[in-house]
Amino acid sequence: MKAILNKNALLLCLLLPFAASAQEPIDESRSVSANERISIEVMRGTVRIRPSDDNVFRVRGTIDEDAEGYTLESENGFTSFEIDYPRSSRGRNWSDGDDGSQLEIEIPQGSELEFEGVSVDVDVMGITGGSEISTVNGDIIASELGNFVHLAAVNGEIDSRNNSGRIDISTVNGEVTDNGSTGRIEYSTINGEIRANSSATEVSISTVNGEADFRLSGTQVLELSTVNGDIDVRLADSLSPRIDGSTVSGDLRLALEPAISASFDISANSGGDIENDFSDERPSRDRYGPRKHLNFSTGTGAGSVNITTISGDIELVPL
Amino acid sequence: MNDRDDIAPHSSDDDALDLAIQALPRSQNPARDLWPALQAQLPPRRARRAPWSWAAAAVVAALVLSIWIRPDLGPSSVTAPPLAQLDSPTAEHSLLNVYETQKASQMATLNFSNPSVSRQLAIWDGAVQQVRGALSYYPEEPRLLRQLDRLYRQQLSYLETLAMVDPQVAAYY
Repeated sequence: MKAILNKNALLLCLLLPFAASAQEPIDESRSVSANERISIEVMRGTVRIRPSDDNVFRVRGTIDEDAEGYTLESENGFTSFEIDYPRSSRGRNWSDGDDGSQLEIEIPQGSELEFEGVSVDVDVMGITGGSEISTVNGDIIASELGNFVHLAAVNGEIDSRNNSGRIDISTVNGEVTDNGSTGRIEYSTINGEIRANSSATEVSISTVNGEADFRLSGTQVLELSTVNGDIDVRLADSLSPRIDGSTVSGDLRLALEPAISASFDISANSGGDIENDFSDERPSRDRYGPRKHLNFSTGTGAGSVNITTISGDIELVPL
Repeated sequence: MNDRDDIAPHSSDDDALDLAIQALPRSQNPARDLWPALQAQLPPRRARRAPWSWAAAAVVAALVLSIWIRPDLGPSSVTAPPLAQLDSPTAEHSLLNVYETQKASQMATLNFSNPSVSRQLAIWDGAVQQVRGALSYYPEEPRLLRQLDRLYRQQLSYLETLAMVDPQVAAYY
Protein backbone atom coordinates (compact mmCIF):
# COMPACT_ATOMS: atom_id res chain seq x y z
CA MET A 1 0.00 0.00 0.00
CA LYS A 2 2.76 2.40 0.89
CA ALA A 3 4.52 1.60 -2.38
CA ILE A 4 1.35 2.41 -4.34
CA LEU A 5 0.99 5.76 -2.54
CA ASN A 6 4.58 6.61 -3.28
CA LYS A 7 4.08 5.79 -6.95
CA ASN A 8 0.97 8.00 -7.08
CA ALA A 9 2.81 10.83 -5.37
CA LEU A 10 5.65 10.52 -7.85
CA LEU A 11 3.20 10.56 -10.79
CA LEU A 12 1.49 13.65 -9.37
CA CYS A 13 4.82 15.41 -9.02
CA LEU A 14 5.66 14.60 -12.64
CA LEU A 15 2.30 15.83 -13.96
CA LEU A 16 2.02 19.02 -11.89
CA PRO A 17 4.35 21.16 -13.99
CA PHE A 18 2.37 20.26 -17.13
CA ALA A 19 -0.91 21.03 -15.42
CA ALA A 20 0.40 24.42 -14.35
CA SER A 21 1.50 25.33 -17.88
CA ALA A 22 -1.65 24.14 -19.68
CA GLN A 23 -3.68 26.71 -21.62
CA GLU A 24 -6.17 28.46 -19.37
CA PRO A 25 -9.75 28.85 -20.61
CA ILE A 26 -11.28 32.29 -20.92
CA ASP A 27 -14.92 33.33 -21.28
CA GLU A 28 -15.53 37.02 -20.65
CA SER A 29 -17.96 39.62 -21.91
CA ARG A 30 -18.66 43.33 -21.42
CA SER A 31 -21.47 45.58 -22.59
CA VAL A 32 -20.02 48.19 -24.92
CA SER A 33 -21.23 50.93 -27.25
CA ALA A 34 -22.21 50.28 -30.87
CA ASN A 35 -19.19 52.25 -32.07
CA GLU A 36 -16.78 51.18 -29.35
CA ARG A 37 -13.08 51.74 -29.85
CA ILE A 38 -11.53 48.38 -29.20
CA SER A 39 -7.86 47.47 -28.97
CA ILE A 40 -6.64 43.90 -28.77
CA GLU A 41 -3.08 42.71 -28.25
CA VAL A 42 -2.22 39.03 -28.61
CA MET A 43 1.41 38.14 -29.11
CA ARG A 44 0.99 34.65 -30.51
CA GLY A 45 -1.69 32.15 -31.35
CA THR A 46 -4.83 32.30 -33.46
CA VAL A 47 -7.55 34.90 -33.16
CA ARG A 48 -10.91 35.02 -34.91
CA ILE A 49 -12.89 38.26 -34.72
CA ARG A 50 -16.52 38.47 -35.78
CA PRO A 51 -19.31 41.05 -35.46
CA SER A 52 -21.67 40.42 -32.56
CA ASP A 53 -25.46 40.53 -32.78
CA ASP A 54 -25.62 42.80 -29.75
CA ASN A 55 -23.45 45.56 -28.28
CA VAL A 56 -21.17 43.22 -26.41
CA PHE A 57 -17.45 42.54 -26.38
CA ARG A 58 -17.06 38.81 -25.88
CA VAL A 59 -13.90 36.69 -25.77
CA ARG A 60 -13.78 32.92 -25.47
CA GLY A 61 -11.09 30.30 -25.89
CA THR A 62 -7.81 29.53 -24.22
CA ILE A 63 -4.90 31.79 -23.42
CA ASP A 64 -1.26 31.15 -24.12
CA GLU A 65 0.33 28.67 -21.73
CA ASP A 66 3.25 31.06 -21.28
CA ALA A 67 0.98 33.98 -20.41
CA GLU A 68 0.45 35.00 -16.83
CA GLY A 69 -3.09 36.15 -17.45
CA TYR A 70 -4.99 38.80 -19.35
CA THR A 71 -6.28 42.33 -18.90
CA LEU A 72 -9.75 43.37 -20.01
CA GLU A 73 -10.78 46.97 -19.41
CA SER A 74 -13.88 48.67 -20.71
CA GLU A 75 -15.10 52.17 -19.97
CA ASN A 76 -16.21 55.38 -21.67
CA GLY A 77 -16.42 53.81 -25.11
CA PHE A 78 -12.95 52.30 -24.98
CA THR A 79 -12.29 48.59 -24.50
CA SER A 80 -8.88 46.99 -24.40
CA PHE A 81 -7.99 43.34 -24.16
CA GLU A 82 -4.43 42.16 -23.77
CA ILE A 83 -2.73 38.87 -23.01
CA ASP A 84 -0.17 39.51 -20.29
CA TYR A 85 3.25 37.91 -20.18
CA PRO A 86 5.86 37.89 -17.44
CA ARG A 87 8.50 40.58 -17.68
CA SER A 88 11.00 37.85 -18.42
CA SER A 89 9.24 37.44 -21.79
CA ARG A 90 10.70 40.69 -23.03
CA GLY A 91 12.94 40.02 -25.97
CA ARG A 92 11.73 36.45 -26.38
CA ASN A 93 11.28 34.83 -29.75
CA TRP A 94 7.51 34.70 -30.13
CA SER A 95 7.76 32.05 -32.84
CA ASP A 96 9.05 29.53 -30.33
CA GLY A 97 6.91 27.26 -28.24
CA ASP A 98 3.43 25.90 -28.68
CA ASP A 99 0.29 27.27 -30.21
CA GLY A 100 -0.25 30.34 -28.07
CA SER A 101 -3.71 31.76 -27.42
CA GLN A 102 -6.72 30.40 -29.26
CA LEU A 103 -9.43 33.04 -29.13
CA GLU A 104 -12.85 33.77 -30.58
CA ILE A 105 -13.77 37.43 -30.13
CA GLU A 106 -17.04 39.16 -30.92
CA ILE A 107 -17.38 42.92 -31.11
CA PRO A 108 -20.12 45.27 -32.38
CA GLN A 109 -20.13 45.61 -36.13
CA GLY A 110 -19.68 49.39 -35.96
CA SER A 111 -16.63 49.17 -33.70
CA GLU A 112 -13.32 50.74 -34.53
CA LEU A 113 -10.84 47.92 -34.09
CA GLU A 114 -7.12 47.98 -33.47
CA PHE A 115 -5.37 44.62 -33.33
CA GLU A 116 -1.69 44.01 -32.74
CA GLY A 117 0.34 40.83 -32.49
CA VAL A 118 3.62 39.19 -33.37
CA SER A 119 3.27 35.51 -34.25
CA VAL A 120 -0.48 35.47 -34.34
CA ASP A 121 -2.77 34.50 -37.19
CA VAL A 122 -5.83 36.73 -37.22
CA ASP A 123 -9.04 36.28 -39.13
CA VAL A 124 -11.33 39.31 -38.93
CA MET A 125 -14.62 39.81 -40.71
CA GLY A 126 -17.52 42.24 -40.93
CA ILE A 127 -16.28 45.20 -38.89
CA THR A 128 -17.36 48.45 -40.51
CA GLY A 129 -16.18 51.14 -38.10
CA GLY A 130 -12.57 50.92 -39.19
CA SER A 131 -9.85 48.32 -38.65
CA GLU A 132 -6.14 48.53 -38.04
CA ILE A 133 -4.62 45.07 -37.99
CA SER A 134 -0.90 44.47 -37.67
CA THR A 135 1.23 41.40 -37.12
CA VAL A 136 4.87 40.53 -37.59
CA ASN A 137 4.95 36.87 -38.60
CA GLY A 138 1.28 35.99 -38.40
CA ASP A 139 -1.08 35.84 -41.36
CA ILE A 140 -4.05 38.16 -41.73
CA ILE A 141 -7.37 37.23 -43.29
CA ALA A 142 -9.55 40.32 -43.49
CA SER A 143 -12.99 40.22 -45.06
CA GLU A 144 -15.85 42.65 -45.50
CA LEU A 145 -14.23 45.42 -43.51
CA GLY A 146 -15.24 49.00 -44.09
CA ASN A 147 -14.26 52.61 -43.50
CA PHE A 148 -10.53 53.00 -42.86
CA VAL A 149 -8.86 49.61 -43.25
CA HIS A 150 -5.18 49.24 -42.48
CA LEU A 151 -3.62 45.79 -42.79
CA ALA A 152 0.10 45.40 -42.10
CA ALA A 153 2.48 42.49 -41.66
CA VAL A 154 6.22 42.01 -41.83
CA ASN A 155 6.57 38.37 -42.91
CA GLY A 156 2.97 37.29 -42.64
CA GLU A 157 0.67 36.90 -45.62
CA ILE A 158 -2.35 39.15 -46.04
CA ASP A 159 -5.53 37.88 -47.62
CA SER A 160 -7.98 40.75 -48.16
CA ARG A 161 -11.53 39.93 -49.31
CA ASN A 162 -14.32 42.31 -50.27
CA ASN A 163 -13.07 45.22 -48.18
CA SER A 164 -14.20 48.76 -48.89
CA GLY A 165 -13.37 52.33 -47.99
CA ARG A 166 -9.86 53.66 -47.66
CA ILE A 167 -7.71 50.57 -47.60
CA ASP A 168 -4.02 50.37 -46.93
CA ILE A 169 -2.25 47.01 -47.21
CA SER A 170 1.47 46.70 -46.54
CA THR A 171 4.04 43.99 -45.92
CA VAL A 172 7.78 43.74 -45.94
CA ASN A 173 8.25 40.15 -47.08
CA GLY A 174 4.77 38.68 -46.89
CA GLU A 175 2.55 38.03 -49.89
CA VAL A 176 -0.60 40.05 -50.43
CA THR A 177 -3.78 38.78 -52.04
CA ASP A 178 -6.73 41.09 -52.49
CA ASN A 179 -10.07 40.24 -54.05
CA GLY A 180 -13.15 42.37 -54.44
CA SER A 181 -11.93 45.58 -52.84
CA THR A 182 -13.68 48.88 -53.58
CA GLY A 183 -13.01 52.49 -52.70
CA ARG A 184 -9.42 53.72 -52.50
CA ILE A 185 -6.63 51.25 -51.94
CA GLU A 186 -2.91 51.44 -51.45
CA TYR A 187 -0.68 48.37 -51.69
CA SER A 188 2.88 48.52 -50.48
CA THR A 189 5.49 45.80 -50.17
CA ILE A 190 9.25 45.58 -50.07
CA ASN A 191 9.81 41.98 -51.18
CA GLY A 192 6.34 40.50 -50.98
CA GLU A 193 4.35 39.61 -54.07
CA ILE A 194 0.97 41.22 -54.65
CA ARG A 195 -1.97 39.68 -56.47
CA ALA A 196 -5.13 41.69 -56.65
CA ASN A 197 -8.51 41.73 -58.29
CA SER A 198 -9.99 45.07 -57.38
CA SER A 199 -12.69 47.52 -58.41
CA ALA A 200 -11.27 50.39 -56.40
CA THR A 201 -11.53 53.76 -58.15
CA GLU A 202 -8.12 54.87 -56.91
CA VAL A 203 -5.25 52.41 -56.65
CA SER A 204 -1.66 52.90 -55.61
CA ILE A 205 0.88 50.10 -55.96
CA SER A 206 4.36 50.36 -54.54
CA THR A 207 6.92 47.60 -54.40
CA VAL A 208 10.68 47.39 -54.23
CA ASN A 209 11.49 43.82 -55.27
CA GLY A 210 8.13 42.13 -55.11
CA GLU A 211 6.19 41.20 -58.22
CA ALA A 212 2.68 42.52 -58.70
CA ASP A 213 -0.15 41.07 -60.76
CA PHE A 214 -3.31 43.17 -60.93
CA ARG A 215 -6.75 42.80 -62.47
CA LEU A 216 -8.46 46.14 -62.04
CA SER A 217 -11.90 47.24 -63.08
CA GLY A 218 -13.15 50.82 -63.30
CA THR A 219 -10.05 52.30 -61.69
CA GLN A 220 -9.81 56.00 -62.52
CA VAL A 221 -6.53 56.88 -60.82
CA LEU A 222 -3.62 54.45 -60.78
CA GLU A 223 -0.15 55.00 -59.37
CA LEU A 224 2.57 52.43 -59.92
CA SER A 225 6.03 52.36 -58.44
CA THR A 226 8.62 49.63 -58.42
CA VAL A 227 12.37 49.37 -58.07
CA ASN A 228 13.22 45.88 -59.27
CA GLY A 229 9.92 44.03 -59.16
CA ASP A 230 7.81 43.46 -62.26
CA ILE A 231 4.29 44.88 -62.35
CA ASP A 232 1.56 43.52 -64.61
CA VAL A 233 -1.74 45.41 -64.70
CA ARG A 234 -4.91 44.71 -66.65
CA LEU A 235 -7.22 47.68 -66.38
CA ALA A 236 -10.73 47.11 -67.67
CA ASP A 237 -13.78 49.40 -67.84
CA SER A 238 -11.71 52.56 -67.58
CA LEU A 239 -11.76 54.70 -70.71
CA SER A 240 -9.95 57.81 -69.51
CA PRO A 241 -7.80 56.81 -66.54
CA ARG A 242 -4.99 58.84 -65.04
CA ILE A 243 -1.99 56.56 -64.69
CA ASP A 244 1.39 57.52 -63.29
CA GLY A 245 4.13 54.95 -63.04
CA SER A 246 7.83 54.65 -62.45
CA THR A 247 10.26 51.77 -62.36
CA VAL A 248 14.00 51.55 -62.00
CA SER A 249 14.79 48.12 -63.41
CA GLY A 250 11.52 46.23 -63.00
CA ASP A 251 9.36 45.60 -66.06
CA LEU A 252 5.96 47.19 -66.29
CA ARG A 253 3.17 45.82 -68.46
CA LEU A 254 -0.09 47.70 -68.88
CA ALA A 255 -3.10 46.21 -70.64
CA LEU A 256 -5.72 48.90 -71.27
CA GLU A 257 -9.10 49.22 -72.93
CA PRO A 258 -8.72 49.41 -76.73
CA ALA A 259 -11.11 52.40 -76.77
CA ILE A 260 -9.11 54.32 -74.18
CA SER A 261 -8.95 58.09 -74.56
CA ALA A 262 -5.66 59.29 -73.15
CA SER A 263 -2.40 61.03 -73.85
CA PHE A 264 0.59 58.72 -73.43
CA ASP A 265 3.98 60.00 -72.30
CA ILE A 266 6.43 57.14 -71.88
CA SER A 267 10.16 57.50 -71.37
CA ALA A 268 12.96 54.98 -70.90
CA ASN A 269 16.02 56.77 -69.62
CA SER A 270 18.84 54.30 -69.72
CA GLY A 271 18.46 51.01 -71.48
CA GLY A 272 14.81 50.24 -70.91
CA ASP A 273 12.71 49.23 -73.90
CA ILE A 274 9.28 50.54 -74.79
CA GLU A 275 6.95 48.22 -76.61
CA ASN A 276 3.73 49.66 -77.93
CA ASP A 277 1.10 47.26 -79.20
CA PHE A 278 -1.52 49.91 -78.66
CA SER A 279 -0.97 52.09 -81.66
CA ASP A 280 1.34 52.45 -84.65
CA GLU A 281 3.59 54.97 -82.92
CA ARG A 282 7.08 53.80 -82.13
CA PRO A 283 9.49 55.22 -79.57
CA SER A 284 12.09 57.68 -80.75
CA ARG A 285 15.59 57.82 -79.36
CA ASP A 286 17.45 60.93 -78.23
CA ARG A 287 20.16 61.80 -80.67
CA TYR A 288 22.78 62.46 -78.01
CA GLY A 289 21.68 60.38 -75.08
CA PRO A 290 20.25 57.00 -74.17
CA ARG A 291 16.67 58.07 -73.60
CA LYS A 292 13.75 56.79 -75.63
CA HIS A 293 10.40 58.59 -75.81
CA LEU A 294 6.97 57.56 -76.85
CA ASN A 295 4.28 60.21 -77.05
CA PHE A 296 0.88 59.76 -78.59
CA SER A 297 -2.79 60.30 -77.90
CA THR A 298 -5.87 58.23 -78.43
CA GLY A 299 -9.45 59.49 -78.66
CA THR A 300 -9.77 62.97 -77.22
CA GLY A 301 -6.78 62.43 -74.93
CA ALA A 302 -8.97 62.91 -71.85
CA GLY A 303 -6.95 60.62 -69.60
CA SER A 304 -3.20 60.39 -69.16
CA VAL A 305 -0.63 57.63 -69.01
CA ASN A 306 2.77 58.81 -67.79
CA ILE A 307 5.41 56.14 -67.26
CA THR A 308 9.11 56.51 -66.72
CA THR A 309 11.73 53.79 -66.45
CA ILE A 310 15.47 53.67 -66.07
CA SER A 311 16.37 50.22 -67.37
CA GLY A 312 13.13 48.28 -66.99
CA ASP A 313 10.95 47.50 -70.00
CA ILE A 314 7.55 49.09 -70.56
CA GLU A 315 4.88 47.27 -72.51
CA LEU A 316 1.55 48.76 -73.58
CA VAL A 317 -1.04 46.36 -74.88
CA PRO A 318 -4.77 46.50 -75.55
CA LEU A 319 -6.98 44.21 -73.49
CA MET B 1 -8.88 89.90 -103.35
CA ASN B 2 -7.33 87.80 -100.69
CA ASP B 3 -3.73 86.93 -100.01
CA ARG B 4 -3.92 83.73 -101.97
CA ASP B 5 -4.60 85.70 -105.08
CA ASP B 6 -1.15 87.27 -104.84
CA ILE B 7 0.54 83.94 -105.10
CA ALA B 8 1.44 82.94 -108.60
CA PRO B 9 -0.01 79.66 -109.76
CA HIS B 10 2.37 76.75 -109.32
CA SER B 11 4.01 75.30 -112.33
CA SER B 12 4.21 71.55 -112.70
CA ASP B 13 7.91 71.79 -111.71
CA ASP B 14 6.95 73.54 -108.49
CA ASP B 15 4.40 70.84 -107.73
CA ALA B 16 6.99 68.18 -108.30
CA LEU B 17 9.40 70.03 -106.04
CA ASP B 18 6.76 70.29 -103.35
CA LEU B 19 6.06 66.59 -103.61
CA ALA B 20 9.76 65.82 -103.46
CA ILE B 21 10.18 68.03 -100.41
CA GLN B 22 7.22 66.40 -98.70
CA ALA B 23 8.73 63.00 -99.40
CA LEU B 24 11.97 63.94 -97.65
CA PRO B 25 12.42 62.64 -94.12
CA ARG B 26 11.90 65.33 -91.48
CA SER B 27 15.23 64.49 -89.86
CA GLN B 28 18.43 62.97 -91.12
CA ASN B 29 20.64 60.76 -88.99
CA PRO B 30 24.40 60.99 -89.58
CA ALA B 31 25.96 57.98 -91.24
CA ARG B 32 28.12 57.40 -88.17
CA ASP B 33 28.05 58.49 -84.53
CA LEU B 34 29.61 61.97 -84.54
CA TRP B 35 29.32 62.54 -80.83
CA PRO B 36 32.71 61.12 -79.69
CA ALA B 37 34.58 63.43 -82.07
CA LEU B 38 32.50 66.44 -81.05
CA GLN B 39 32.85 65.62 -77.39
CA ALA B 40 36.65 65.51 -77.67
CA GLN B 41 36.65 69.07 -79.02
CA LEU B 42 34.38 70.52 -76.35
CA PRO B 43 35.86 72.72 -73.60
CA PRO B 44 35.44 71.48 -70.01
CA ARG B 45 31.78 71.56 -69.07
CA ARG B 46 30.48 74.39 -66.93
CA ALA B 47 27.41 74.27 -64.81
CA ARG B 48 24.64 75.48 -67.08
CA ARG B 49 20.97 75.80 -66.52
CA ALA B 50 19.05 73.45 -68.75
CA PRO B 51 15.90 74.81 -70.36
CA TRP B 52 13.83 72.83 -67.88
CA SER B 53 15.91 73.92 -64.89
CA TRP B 54 13.17 76.18 -63.55
CA ALA B 55 10.75 73.27 -63.48
CA ALA B 56 13.37 71.09 -61.82
CA ALA B 57 14.22 73.79 -59.32
CA ALA B 58 10.53 74.17 -58.56
CA VAL B 59 10.22 70.42 -57.90
CA VAL B 60 13.20 70.41 -55.55
CA ALA B 61 12.14 73.61 -53.84
CA ALA B 62 8.64 72.17 -53.32
CA LEU B 63 10.06 68.94 -51.94
CA VAL B 64 12.49 70.63 -49.61
CA LEU B 65 9.99 73.25 -48.47
CA SER B 66 7.24 70.68 -47.95
CA ILE B 67 9.57 68.76 -45.67
CA TRP B 68 10.62 71.95 -43.93
CA ILE B 69 7.13 73.34 -43.42
CA ARG B 70 5.26 70.07 -42.81
CA PRO B 71 7.64 67.41 -41.54
CA ASP B 72 4.71 64.99 -41.29
CA LEU B 73 4.32 65.06 -45.07
CA GLY B 74 7.84 63.97 -45.72
CA PRO B 75 9.86 61.09 -44.38
CA SER B 76 9.25 61.17 -40.70
CA SER B 77 11.28 63.40 -38.49
CA VAL B 78 12.89 65.10 -41.43
CA THR B 79 14.72 68.02 -39.99
CA ALA B 80 14.42 71.35 -41.71
CA PRO B 81 17.27 71.69 -44.15
CA PRO B 82 19.04 75.03 -44.23
CA LEU B 83 17.65 77.02 -47.10
CA ALA B 84 21.20 77.67 -48.18
CA GLN B 85 21.16 74.15 -49.56
CA LEU B 86 18.92 75.37 -52.33
CA ASP B 87 21.97 77.10 -53.72
CA SER B 88 23.75 73.79 -54.23
CA PRO B 89 25.06 73.30 -57.73
CA THR B 90 22.34 70.98 -58.99
CA ALA B 91 18.90 69.82 -57.95
CA GLU B 92 20.25 66.27 -57.71
CA HIS B 93 22.89 67.33 -55.20
CA SER B 94 20.31 69.23 -53.20
CA LEU B 95 18.21 66.10 -52.87
CA LEU B 96 21.21 63.95 -52.03
CA ASN B 97 22.37 66.45 -49.47
CA VAL B 98 19.03 66.45 -47.67
CA TYR B 99 18.32 62.75 -47.83
CA GLU B 100 21.78 61.33 -47.21
CA THR B 101 22.05 63.44 -44.07
CA GLN B 102 18.66 62.22 -42.92
CA LYS B 103 19.47 58.63 -43.79
CA ALA B 104 22.76 58.74 -41.89
CA SER B 105 21.05 60.10 -38.81
CA GLN B 106 18.37 57.40 -38.93
CA MET B 107 20.98 54.70 -39.45
CA ALA B 108 22.80 55.96 -36.38
CA THR B 109 19.71 55.41 -34.24
CA LEU B 110 19.39 51.73 -35.14
CA ASN B 111 20.70 49.67 -32.28
CA PHE B 112 20.89 46.38 -34.10
CA SER B 113 22.46 44.85 -37.16
CA ASN B 114 20.56 42.65 -39.53
CA PRO B 115 22.12 41.31 -42.75
CA SER B 116 18.79 41.35 -44.58
CA VAL B 117 18.36 45.05 -43.74
CA SER B 118 21.82 45.73 -45.13
CA ARG B 119 20.95 43.81 -48.29
CA GLN B 120 17.73 45.74 -48.63
CA LEU B 121 19.48 49.08 -48.26
CA ALA B 122 22.06 47.96 -50.83
CA ILE B 123 19.24 47.36 -53.32
CA TRP B 124 18.02 50.92 -52.82
CA ASP B 125 21.56 52.22 -53.13
CA GLY B 126 21.90 50.38 -56.43
CA ALA B 127 18.64 51.88 -57.66
CA VAL B 128 19.77 55.35 -56.61
CA GLN B 129 22.94 54.84 -58.62
CA GLN B 130 20.90 53.86 -61.67
CA VAL B 131 18.77 56.98 -61.43
CA ARG B 132 21.85 59.12 -60.90
CA GLY B 133 23.36 57.50 -63.96
CA ALA B 134 20.36 58.68 -65.98
CA LEU B 135 20.61 62.11 -64.36
CA SER B 136 24.18 62.38 -65.59
CA TYR B 137 22.70 62.46 -69.11
CA TYR B 138 19.65 64.53 -68.22
CA PRO B 139 20.55 66.69 -65.25
CA GLU B 140 17.62 68.28 -63.47
CA GLU B 141 15.06 66.22 -65.34
CA PRO B 142 11.97 66.52 -63.08
CA ARG B 143 10.78 62.92 -63.50
CA LEU B 144 14.17 61.50 -62.63
CA LEU B 145 14.40 63.79 -59.65
CA ARG B 146 10.99 62.63 -58.48
CA GLN B 147 12.16 59.04 -58.87
CA LEU B 148 15.26 59.78 -56.82
CA ASP B 149 13.06 61.46 -54.23
CA ARG B 150 10.74 58.44 -54.09
CA LEU B 151 13.62 56.01 -53.61
CA TYR B 152 14.93 57.98 -50.66
CA ARG B 153 11.47 58.33 -49.14
CA GLN B 154 11.03 54.56 -49.34
CA GLN B 155 14.36 54.01 -47.62
CA LEU B 156 13.67 56.53 -44.90
CA SER B 157 10.21 55.10 -44.28
CA TYR B 158 11.76 51.64 -43.99
CA LEU B 159 14.44 52.89 -41.61
CA GLU B 160 11.86 54.75 -39.57
CA THR B 161 9.82 51.58 -39.16
CA LEU B 162 12.92 49.71 -38.07
CA ALA B 163 13.76 52.40 -35.58
CA MET B 164 10.29 52.25 -34.06
CA VAL B 165 9.91 48.51 -33.65
CA ASP B 166 11.32 46.44 -30.85
CA PRO B 167 14.84 45.26 -31.76
CA GLN B 168 13.62 41.69 -31.34
CA VAL B 169 10.91 42.30 -33.92
CA ALA B 170 13.32 44.13 -36.21
CA ALA B 171 15.22 40.86 -36.52
CA TYR B 172 12.32 39.59 -38.64
CA TYR B 173 12.75 42.26 -41.30
